[in-house]
Amino acid sequence: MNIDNVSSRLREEIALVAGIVGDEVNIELSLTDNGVNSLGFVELMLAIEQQFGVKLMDSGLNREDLASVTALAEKIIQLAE
Amino acid sequence: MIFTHKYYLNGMDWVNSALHHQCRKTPAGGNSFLIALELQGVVEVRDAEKMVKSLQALSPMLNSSRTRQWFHLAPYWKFSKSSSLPEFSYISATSETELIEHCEAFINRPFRIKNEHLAIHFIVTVTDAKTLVCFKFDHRLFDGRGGEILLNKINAAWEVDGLVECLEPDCCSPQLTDWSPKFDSGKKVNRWFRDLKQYGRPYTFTGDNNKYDTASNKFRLLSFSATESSAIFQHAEQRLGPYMNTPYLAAAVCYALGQLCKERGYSDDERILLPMTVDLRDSRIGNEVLFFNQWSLAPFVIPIAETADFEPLADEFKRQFIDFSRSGFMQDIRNANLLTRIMPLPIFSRMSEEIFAGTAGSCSYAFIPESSFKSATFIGRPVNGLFHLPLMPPEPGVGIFMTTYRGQLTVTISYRDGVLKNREVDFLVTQLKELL
Repeated sequence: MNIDNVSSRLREEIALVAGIVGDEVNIELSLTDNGVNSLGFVELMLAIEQQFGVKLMDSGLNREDLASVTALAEKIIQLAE
Repeated sequence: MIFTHKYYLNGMDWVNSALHHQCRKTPAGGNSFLIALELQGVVEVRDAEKMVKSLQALSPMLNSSRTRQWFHLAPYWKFSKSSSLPEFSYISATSETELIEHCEAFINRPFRIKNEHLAIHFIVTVTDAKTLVCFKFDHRLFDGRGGEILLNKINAAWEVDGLVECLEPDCCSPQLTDWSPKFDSGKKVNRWFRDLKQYGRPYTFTGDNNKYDTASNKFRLLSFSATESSAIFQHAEQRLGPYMNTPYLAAAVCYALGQLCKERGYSDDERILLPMTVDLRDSRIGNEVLFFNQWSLAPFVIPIAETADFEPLADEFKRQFIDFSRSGFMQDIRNANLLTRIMPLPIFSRMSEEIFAGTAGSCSYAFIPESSFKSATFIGRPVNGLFHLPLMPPEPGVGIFMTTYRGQLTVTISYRDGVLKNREVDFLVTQLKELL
């Protein structure tokens, strides 16, 4: 599991919940700026749980973890290790 | 813009048509909602007229009528050839306290003609140099976010001195294929409500009879400053985690309602059913979907006895919110209702009451985390605030709605006259203020 791989899979999941195409997801922006709302956020967390086997919702996520898609990818790797 | 197709109703449009039917005896004669914009300065009549005229291109939709396709009976909206503009009124108020009374009078009066679906009311308080612009939307054609999208379009047209334009509604299919997932959704929704009914009828503020069928609608507003709102959202995040404002605020509403139930007296096994409206638009086309109902429901259920302590209550709301998302229940409600369109509205209304254990819930709830209308100005004037004032159907007769516009949270308590006493509304306001 490396950062590029996780970011790329995250990009696909974000595109799905935000209803945009993968290329439109900017990994330097936050989830909100990529069009994720509260319902989409829960769907994304559930998808991450399925794909990466990490329970982000119970991991005490904070604002820094969600500051960008890359930051979220780093959090996933950290929890998976 | 030329509307060329029929628009077939989706499941939630049909639910709204049923709610409209339930409101037919009320002074408003149907189900509608207001979006009010508080503008700095006095909007001149000629500017008001210019704004209304910019809606000319939407006339086919704003004067449309509902009918059924003759061979497969799917209901659709038939676009009108009328070019008549929305009703527009201009009134002055002597004080700010009169504003809400004017809003109540506006929502409680029917549209000018049967097939009109939008009306606009300008309330000017000359003393304070303020104008409240109220848009009244027929809920069968617009939902809350759709209404805000229209405000964006009016603003954009104003800036270029042009007409409001929008995409033609994108639903030309009657959705009469692919039955299996619809029936699966129907089964899931039925099962959920059957389980709910095991515990009896949820608590209602209206009591057992339908005596509020003809009552008028009243409003009470509670506004928080940007600083207060920011503190509320920060606390929600600390308590439940990021993106959890929606269940946090729903829990706050449930807490306040629970305290009111205790004031009124309740039996130990009674529950609060809080149907929360959730917008299902996706962000790609979401900001272009102006017409029709793109929402669904997340019906939270809490025993009244468990509303005493806010912290565990907030956790329970988060759990139920995640469960609804995990199971796709909100999408199921939307899909299941496609199956109900075959029924005549009076039968569908009666059947819905049966499914919902005899009531549509204890209290409606909706939260708009950030208004789709984000501009700091409207028709050239600075905007001080934006809030929604939805009319309540006779059942459940009470609704609490929250809107955030540019970081400022406004709470609207909407109720049928008599369902809540004045002191009970004061009580709810106090509970919410203290908690939030």
